[in-house]
Amino acid sequence: MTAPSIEDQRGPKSSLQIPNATTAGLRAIQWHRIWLSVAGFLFILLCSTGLFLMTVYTPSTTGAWGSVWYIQTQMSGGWFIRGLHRFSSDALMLVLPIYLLHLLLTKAYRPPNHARWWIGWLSLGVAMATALSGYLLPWDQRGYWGMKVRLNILATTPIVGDWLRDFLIGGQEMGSLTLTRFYTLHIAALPLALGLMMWYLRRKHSPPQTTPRETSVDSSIQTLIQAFVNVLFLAIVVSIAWYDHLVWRGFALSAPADPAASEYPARPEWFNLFLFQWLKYFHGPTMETMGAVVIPGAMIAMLVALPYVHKVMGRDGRRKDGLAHAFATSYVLFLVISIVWLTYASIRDDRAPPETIVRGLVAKRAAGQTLSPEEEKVLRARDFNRQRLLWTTRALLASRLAHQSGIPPEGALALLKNDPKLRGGELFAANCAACHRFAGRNGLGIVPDEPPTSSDLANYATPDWIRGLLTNPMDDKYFGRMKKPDGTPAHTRMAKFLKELREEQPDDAARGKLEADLDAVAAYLADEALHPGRWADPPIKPSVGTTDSADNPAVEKPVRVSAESTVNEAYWDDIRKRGRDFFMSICNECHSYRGQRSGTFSAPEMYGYGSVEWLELMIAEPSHETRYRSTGREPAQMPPFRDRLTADEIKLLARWIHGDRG
Amino acid sequence: MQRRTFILALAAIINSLMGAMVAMPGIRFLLDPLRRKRGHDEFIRITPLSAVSADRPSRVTVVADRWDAFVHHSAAPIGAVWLLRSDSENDEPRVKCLQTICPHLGCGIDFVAGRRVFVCPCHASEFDAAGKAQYGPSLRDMDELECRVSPPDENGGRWVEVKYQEFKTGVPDRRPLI
Repeated sequence: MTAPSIEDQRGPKSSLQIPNATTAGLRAIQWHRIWLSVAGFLFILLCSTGLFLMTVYTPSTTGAWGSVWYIQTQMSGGWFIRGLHRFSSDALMLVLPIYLLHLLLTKAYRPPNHARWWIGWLSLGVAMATALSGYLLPWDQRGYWGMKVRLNILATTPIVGDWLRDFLIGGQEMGSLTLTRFYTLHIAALPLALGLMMWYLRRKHSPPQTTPRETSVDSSIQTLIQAFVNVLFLAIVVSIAWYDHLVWRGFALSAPADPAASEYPARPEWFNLFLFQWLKYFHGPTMETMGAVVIPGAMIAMLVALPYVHKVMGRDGRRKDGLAHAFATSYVLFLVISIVWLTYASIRDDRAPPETIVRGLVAKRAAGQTLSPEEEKVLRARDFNRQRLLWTTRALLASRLAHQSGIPPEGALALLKNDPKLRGGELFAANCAACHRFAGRNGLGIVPDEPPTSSDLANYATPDWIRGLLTNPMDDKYFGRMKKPDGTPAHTRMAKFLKELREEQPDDAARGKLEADLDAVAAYLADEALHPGRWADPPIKPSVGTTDSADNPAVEKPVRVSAESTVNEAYWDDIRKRGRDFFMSICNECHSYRGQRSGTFSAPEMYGYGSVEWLELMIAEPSHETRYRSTGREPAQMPPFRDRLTADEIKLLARWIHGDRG
Repeated sequence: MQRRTFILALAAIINSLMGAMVAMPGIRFLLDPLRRKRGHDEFIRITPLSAVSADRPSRVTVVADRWDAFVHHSAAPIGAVWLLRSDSENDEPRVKCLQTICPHLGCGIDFVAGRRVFVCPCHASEFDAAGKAQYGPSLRDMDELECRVSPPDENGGRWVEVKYQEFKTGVPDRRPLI
């Protein structure tokens, strides 16, 4: 249906004059007013939900994330109120452009109605600014990094850019004042401006006060249809809020803002993706200013100038007038299509590429071939998606930690910073995963592209891990991937020794006994990781049978075991003792125990092997005399981390590798 | 004209329903904090007995685990109490514990050593050295809290422990606020 233009309404031949005909009344519906009514309705919805949110939200860098988390996950109806607030803002970002397009198509942008064209665009800009200021308020990673990038784009504006940025954030760095300033903008300054503009537009679209009696049916139908359209939009917003709650629960808030987390994959909000994609095509300082400021500025200037285009093109003749309108329409349609296409392109570029393609590309790169720019782009998209997934899990972890222990007074970021599990994984990924793996991954759940060059430390020094090593030390999980500098396999002595030991066995019975002995050694050594020295001479304190622990206080007290497991423990203690005996008679030839060994070749010390203390020294100084040494036939390849990590970090890492055992 | 009234009424109903749809969760949201009540119903160790003088009341801050909406303080001041020590003749320690909050309207009660009275600085309620109301607008005596002296620990130290509670002000009887 073609709606009447504004001139028609005011003009003498308006369809409003046709009396009492419902069809005519329907034809006389003012669609401009309907879009404005929806925008106004969404605005009121935003203000009221905003007021509710204001009763909890705390605009401080330590309190913001916690308060939004509390709204989202703890308060009754909190997610619903916040969902309405978020998604009605998104809906507003759709309704205002529809209104503007409608002005354009009905020629209502031209003088004398050009003011509403300008105010309409301005209100869209202010609505966006309000939304963007709101995205910063939770002080989460998404809002923080998104705003940081946006402000730095603003700072590329010639002459005033830097000043403007510093003015907005209240200083040189984003912090407490940034949050309070954006809060003020978001709840007072910008909504006030937006409200005034929408009020102005509404007045401009009101029918003349001297409404003829015959049009009264029409105005009531108008009201009813407005109510229906509002219901429609409310239904859409509510459905999206429900969908978001049911499907993406927990993703509505990203991890607490961390100014040090420079690897956060920031992306703008959906209505800004086109600008983000657009800027990808501009490189270098001059071009960046062109892309960010000059060209968009020119485009906006053209939009502002559209009402006057027909004046420039000639003021006489309907033909030239039609030409001017065609120009204006095609210009705006060109903008709309570009924006839609750029938005699509940015989503397309960020889509996770299929794993098979990625594997192919990784193999190609590993084979030394150079990748085409398109292929590089695929790998970049993969990396982006990995990072995004990582940060999603961190957001969920932060929320879970907040559930467990509340938000500490020093702020939500401390939740993640003080979590040993997450920090351990991060340290492993940053320091160890270049060579080692943890269950095939890098400690943060990602499988690195480059193959490992050392052992896999998941379940390190557990019975199964040790037994696997004793079965085949040259398995990829253990020494198999380690190479000496000349490229030959490293740490082959252990394999050679075990092979000879197995070959020495005269018959199947002896071979069976040897494997049982190795089972026992694994059980024994795994116990060293938990209770260093428990099986050392003078022997040997079983876990159960408390016969003489009282009169021999020098012996370490047995681990406390529950009544049900005592039988089991007694059984295992026998096995561990057998393992200890085998170790002292066979392994101790090379592997020292408390510095003592029976042979001449030196292999790593086994006192407390796999315990946190053992690991700490191993990490700090792998070439230590009691670890893999720097001399001899099989020196340590691993670099010392004593100077790269603090003692606390080494302890944390050792604890993390050691895991939750004991 | 009737049709017009009907249509406008219909529109008004639709609009009110929409309003209710937002207002109802909003009201639930506003009332949410009222559903959350967290008291301290276990004894909190507040001070070594040796720090409590028998000569005059001692004011002791009660430090405990505190949940403040989303913020969790592992050790925060949640209030203060007056400790009155009066050991028995066989030196068995006896400690009486009074709330520092004035039963009138909740200001903090101070002790004036010279006159040996408790005085509320806001409306001049006065209580004697045992907490009995004797002057001013307070409708009841100072609120007494459940309190005990712990048995000696491994170092022989004894502690004063209190069940911290607050009470409704401005009424003649003691009504605990949970």
